Amino acid sequence: MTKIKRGFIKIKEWMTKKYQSMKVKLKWSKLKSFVVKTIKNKKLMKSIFGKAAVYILLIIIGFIFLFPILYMISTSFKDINDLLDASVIWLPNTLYFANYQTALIVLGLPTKISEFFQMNALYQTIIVVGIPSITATLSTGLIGYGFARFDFPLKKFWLTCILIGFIVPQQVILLPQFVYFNNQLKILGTIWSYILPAATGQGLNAAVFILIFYSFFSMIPKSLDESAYIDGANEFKVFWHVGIKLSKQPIIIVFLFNFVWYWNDYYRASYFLTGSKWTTLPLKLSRFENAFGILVEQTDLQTTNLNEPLILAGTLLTVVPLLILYFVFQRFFVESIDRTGITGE
Amino acid sequence: MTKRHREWLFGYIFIGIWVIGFFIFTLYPIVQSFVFSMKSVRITTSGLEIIKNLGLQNYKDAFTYVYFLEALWNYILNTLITIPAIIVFSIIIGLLLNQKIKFRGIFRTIYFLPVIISSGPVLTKISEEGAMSIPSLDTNGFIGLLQNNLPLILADGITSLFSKIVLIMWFTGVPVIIIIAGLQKIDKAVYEAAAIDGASLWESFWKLTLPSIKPLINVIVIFSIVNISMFSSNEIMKIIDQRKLTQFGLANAFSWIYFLSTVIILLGFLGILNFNLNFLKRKKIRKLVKS
Repeated sequence: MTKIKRGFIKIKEWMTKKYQSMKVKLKWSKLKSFVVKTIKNKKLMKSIFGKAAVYILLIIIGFIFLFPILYMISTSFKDINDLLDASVIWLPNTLYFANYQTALIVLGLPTKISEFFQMNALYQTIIVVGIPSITATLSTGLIGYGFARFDFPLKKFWLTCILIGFIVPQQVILLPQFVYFNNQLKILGTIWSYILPAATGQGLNAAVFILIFYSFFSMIPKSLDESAYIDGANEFKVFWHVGIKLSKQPIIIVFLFNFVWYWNDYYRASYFLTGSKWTTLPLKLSRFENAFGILVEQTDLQTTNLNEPLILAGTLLTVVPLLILYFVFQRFFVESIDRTGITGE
Repeated sequence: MTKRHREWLFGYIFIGIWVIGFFIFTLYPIVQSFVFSMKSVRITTSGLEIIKNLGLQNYKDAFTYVYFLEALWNYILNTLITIPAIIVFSIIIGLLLNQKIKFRGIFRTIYFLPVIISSGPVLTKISEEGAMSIPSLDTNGFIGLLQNNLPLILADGITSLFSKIVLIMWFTGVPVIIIIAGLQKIDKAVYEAAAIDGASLWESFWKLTLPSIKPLINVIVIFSIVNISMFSSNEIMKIIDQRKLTQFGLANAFSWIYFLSTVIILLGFLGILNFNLNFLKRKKIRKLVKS
């Protein structure tokens, strides 16, 4: 016991000593002089204020960016009482999941686990969007490689044609395409109406992707393939080794952008897929009100009114797959673009 | 076969697929659209039925069509306001994000998020439900203050700018990335040299940063105008869409007018941006030298 007591006393002594020494260190005059010094140091103050201003601006702008999404999330969980209650702004009193349940049914998405393995709107969208994205990535890679690595007559002319094709608004092209896909080619309403233009480098925003590949392949030194030619490789082999194996990063980036932009391209879907068995989630969303009306007539749902939370829940559901994709591959979306030279010199 | 001819051949093998596609899926529809815009066309179950040649009648009709004219005017005004705002905001955000700051990745992720989710229906739904305007701006009487104290046209412009601020911000995703890529290519030593010569941050922004990202601003202008014009919540698109099945010829005329006005706006912006003041100065100098 005495040993323990002695130990305690020792610890106490040690602590009081420390405390006193800290007291000395924390004398107010010293602190004051420190503060005065920093304030008088103009350069330091400037940098502190500058940094603070930068952070405040970034946070404000970030809030403006996120505002619609936050609003969407918070509103989609409100029930009718919370919606009408003016005191409820951001946080609903109860998390009301019925909005999501109804929205899932209206959008044609699975509500039970057993329905997961059947074809639904989500899988359809992934197919309709994914296959053209893959073909467009391959074709634009090939075309970009051709423009970057070979010299041939009329090259400048074709490059200008790419730019012109980019500027022409979609509906100038889509209106006649809509007609002759239906009459001559007979591919309207099938997934081929997406794949064929994509495979020939005429898909959605294909010009941007061709230019990305073009500037990426232009950065690779030509001496690399010259040495390969001397070793007896032909052009296709060089394309395989330089064009594909060296350029995994731009390929992933182009694929992701293709996927996102095709997904969001409601216009094309409304032209090519209306009235067919294929659909995309944004197309479903644009007809949300109608689909809800039909659903109410056919079955008796619990909620029979089409209100703001329900629509926003539906909107959020069509966006969630893209958000997941974005957060998984965020690095590719945001950071590698400077490396592939989208800047288009 | 010489080496040069071989290169020609393989060049065309690689881009051949694009050339074919360009004729089938781009050029042919453009020409057809132009031809249809001069005709009265009906879409039937068996195919297209061309009723008669109208010449420019469709275009004349389009210009007497009030809804379309109003939509077109709104689109033009909207673009004229939005594009400069996009340029300014993307430069500001690009400069902010290019600094050495903590959580840069998170900020970049947030600022790029709209590019991922902004599709026509989603944006329409969001703005219909009122999530696109920041409420405190309306309620604080800020806009009323502007309307009372400024000339009407200016006040209208500013109020519509503020009511669309979120939408404008949401269009800056790709431009910001382009700007950042451009900023990172500028050699830091240049700034140091300028600072030693006594240039302030403000001066070095106008004299160094802006000239070196100027070509990128052109890219941004082209991209943003195309992006906005393709946007499906656009009123003109709806008008064209509604007439797709009934008045196909007129719809094509609409889309051609729309196309031409887009091109005029684009050329206007590029002209203003690349208008070279030095050119005038040089002319003056030449005159002086001659005299």
